[in-house]
Amino acid sequence: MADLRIEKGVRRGSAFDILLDGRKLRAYEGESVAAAILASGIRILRVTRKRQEPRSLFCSIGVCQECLMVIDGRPNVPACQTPARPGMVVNTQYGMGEDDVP
Amino acid sequence: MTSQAELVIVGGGPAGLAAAIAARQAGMDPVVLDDNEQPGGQIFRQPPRAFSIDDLAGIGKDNVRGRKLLDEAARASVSVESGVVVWDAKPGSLSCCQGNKAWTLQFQTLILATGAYERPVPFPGWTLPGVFTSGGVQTMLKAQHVLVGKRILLAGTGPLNLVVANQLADAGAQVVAVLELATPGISDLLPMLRGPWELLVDGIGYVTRLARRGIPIMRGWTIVEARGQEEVTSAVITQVDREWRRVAGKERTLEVDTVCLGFGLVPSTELSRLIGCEHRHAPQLGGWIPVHDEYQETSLPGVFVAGDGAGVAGSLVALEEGRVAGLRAALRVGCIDKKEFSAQAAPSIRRLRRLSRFRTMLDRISCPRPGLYECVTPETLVCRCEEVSAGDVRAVLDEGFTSLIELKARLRSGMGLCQGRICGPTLAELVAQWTGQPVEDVRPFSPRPPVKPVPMSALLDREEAAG
Repeated sequence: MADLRIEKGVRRGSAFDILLDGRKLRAYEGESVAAAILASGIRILRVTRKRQEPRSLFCSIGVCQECLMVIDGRPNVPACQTPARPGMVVNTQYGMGEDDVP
Repeated sequence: MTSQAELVIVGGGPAGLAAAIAARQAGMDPVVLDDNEQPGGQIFRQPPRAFSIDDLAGIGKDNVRGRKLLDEAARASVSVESGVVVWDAKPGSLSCCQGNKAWTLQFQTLILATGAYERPVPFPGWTLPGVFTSGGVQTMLKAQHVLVGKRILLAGTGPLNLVVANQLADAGAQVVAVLELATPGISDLLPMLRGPWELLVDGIGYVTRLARRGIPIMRGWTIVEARGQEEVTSAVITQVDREWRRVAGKERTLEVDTVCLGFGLVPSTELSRLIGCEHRHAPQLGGWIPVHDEYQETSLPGVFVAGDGAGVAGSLVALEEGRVAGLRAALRVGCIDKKEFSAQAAPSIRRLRRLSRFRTMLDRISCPRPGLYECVTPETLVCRCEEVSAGDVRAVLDEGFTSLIELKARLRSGMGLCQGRICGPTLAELVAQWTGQPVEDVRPFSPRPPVKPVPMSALLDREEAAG
């Protein structure tokens, strides 16, 4: 799998796995959920309600609300503002994400 | 829960931190509320605490300037409360929440240093994954140390794109081109020679390093379409005239996997508007800005604004404005007298005058021109949250409606989770153009609490406290 992390001169925190749509994904302490996902080469974080179009990170500062995902069962969580934690369960959000709430 | 403070500062970027340091040195005990994990704001954003970086200066000058300011704040024992969202503001009190904890904070004086965000400019394909804001890509790079793409095009206007293009190239990306809408002539650039020199040296450095790498800066060009199925695979670019309108027959297609958009910044004025400060429309400073005097005080006594949220002018201006605001708050509560204020604020006020010449030049070059919003087709989304297209907007205006509030009522544009931050500036421009009004006559969306998404428990807490 692609890794878009810059390695040179950077020491990250400890490595752990999160679950993205049921599959293991490597993340590091200090990374946001969005950074961990984009670093793996995956860009689509949600699919819109009306047009069913894919969306990714856009502003990266918590303003645009485009990177909403279902994180640990909660829909509409901005992935760019959420630090990754060991064992976190992250799912691509479809529409408003209600169907993904357990 | 209710707590009190003689000075509350909202925002822990350059303006907020400089204000806090100045107020602290003047003998006050300010509280800084910041919604990020660490203070620094966007421009001085630091890597996560769990990371260690060998060469902080290698990421860019702003990281070093930011580290210096943060160290200064620590030495002055400035207390920053991180992860705090301020979601409502009334004269004398703020509603805050941090995770599931909510409280009301009463203040004697208030400094709003809420910063700015990137101006959204819609065109076909701008919602495709792989199209980011330039600032967003920079954040991923300098804080998270992740490169979001391999073959990258930057488009828009202003110095940020030049900075980001260099940072991307340093990190190993292939930067295809930097498209710059403006075509400044020599006479536009002459005021630069009067300084301040550090800005001039920075600017020349960015341009020459791009040239040395063979990365073209294409002046008078812009992006008109991003193409791809599920992600960007190419971008259509075109030459524009001095009004930033397309020149027919000058289109070209570039194969890219990433597009960065940097069309300048829009001040974040939700809180200054909610609390009731007077605002004016200043296109060269980013749009609607709170009216303030030369000491940063707004139309509400004891409420100050500083930094990009008071009118976009960059971090050097933000530092000085913050300092003036902090000292002015100290004067207001009686920590210093008028003479002490004048003596301590004088260097900042002098520096602000010097900086303003340079800024005015940049602002004039990058101030939005009529062609900026003409790339939309009827299918292009203008409101990303509620998926409202330019065609939807046109249809409502064709019925004879002329205001944003009517668009909101009919289309839900501005009612999504971004609270109209993304669609608001565009809709105002489209309404102005399509109904023939000056944009300053189009009333912007009224901000409503909560201005940022907060857990329901925070709202319930306040209701209970209100009894």
